[in-house]
Amino acid sequence: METFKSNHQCRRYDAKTLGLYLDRELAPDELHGIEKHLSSCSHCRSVVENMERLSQTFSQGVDQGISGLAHGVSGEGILVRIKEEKRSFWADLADLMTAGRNVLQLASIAAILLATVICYHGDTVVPTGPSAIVNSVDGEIASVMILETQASKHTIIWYTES
Amino acid sequence: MIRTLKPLVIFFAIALLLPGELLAGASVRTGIRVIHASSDAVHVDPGLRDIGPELESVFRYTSYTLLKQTSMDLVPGNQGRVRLPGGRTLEVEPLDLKGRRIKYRIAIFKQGARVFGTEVLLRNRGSITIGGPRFKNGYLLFNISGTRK
Repeated sequence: METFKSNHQCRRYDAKTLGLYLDRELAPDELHGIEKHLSSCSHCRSVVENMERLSQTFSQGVDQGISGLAHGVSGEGILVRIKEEKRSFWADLADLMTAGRNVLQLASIAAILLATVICYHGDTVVPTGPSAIVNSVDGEIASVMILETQASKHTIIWYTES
Repeated sequence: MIRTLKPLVIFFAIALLLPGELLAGASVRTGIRVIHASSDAVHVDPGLRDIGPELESVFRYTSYTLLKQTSMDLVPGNQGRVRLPGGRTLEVEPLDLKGRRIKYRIAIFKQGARVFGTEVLLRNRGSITIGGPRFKNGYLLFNISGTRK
């Protein structure tokens, strides 16, 4: 990027004013004054020429970009793109559904088997029944009581030695 | 995908067909806690956090102190012994693994004589509390837990 201020050795007009002149955004008398000055000041003329060149380059670039964009967004182009998108979306969805069905089936089988194994071997399921079933009690005891707590059905045997 | 999951399905099918005892192993981790229950203080030992509320819901004692805690791996048919206060001995023996329960034979000896005996079907990962012997202004409780390994 060129910096006009550093090259501009004339103190009468700064780069900003020259830029406004180039864009024709100054009052007629100011425009006229600058035009007169440019005919005699090579520095300011050089600045204005550089500005013009840069402006042209920029304008060409923008034009090329717009023309490319215009081609891309033409009605025909849009339709082609929509068709492509549509086709790929449905194709993707179909693929996903096909794959998903298999995965779902296998996951279901695995889940059922896992649940059955857990229930069958039954260590991690919610406990039901007393913590211990007392089959028999014997010994030199005067009395015995078998209790079960309400909260977790914890079994307690309480005996009195004879 | 099917190729990946097929071995998993086969594994679960085999696991389903295997007896639980074979899958879980035959060893039983048996835990024993000796507790002194009294009304001398208001205290529940931190080591009894799990069964403390259960005991408090049944007994009127205010203090539950953990005197001894031990655990042992026992194969069915093998006996484990623990010395208890007051010249007593606790003997535990897992007899069999029956589904979700472990069949235990439990006996308490006092000066060599068998004073108490019971056979229980203990829920796997569950516990039973046996109490009754007098000890130091209170009573002794024995909490016996069993876990299939």
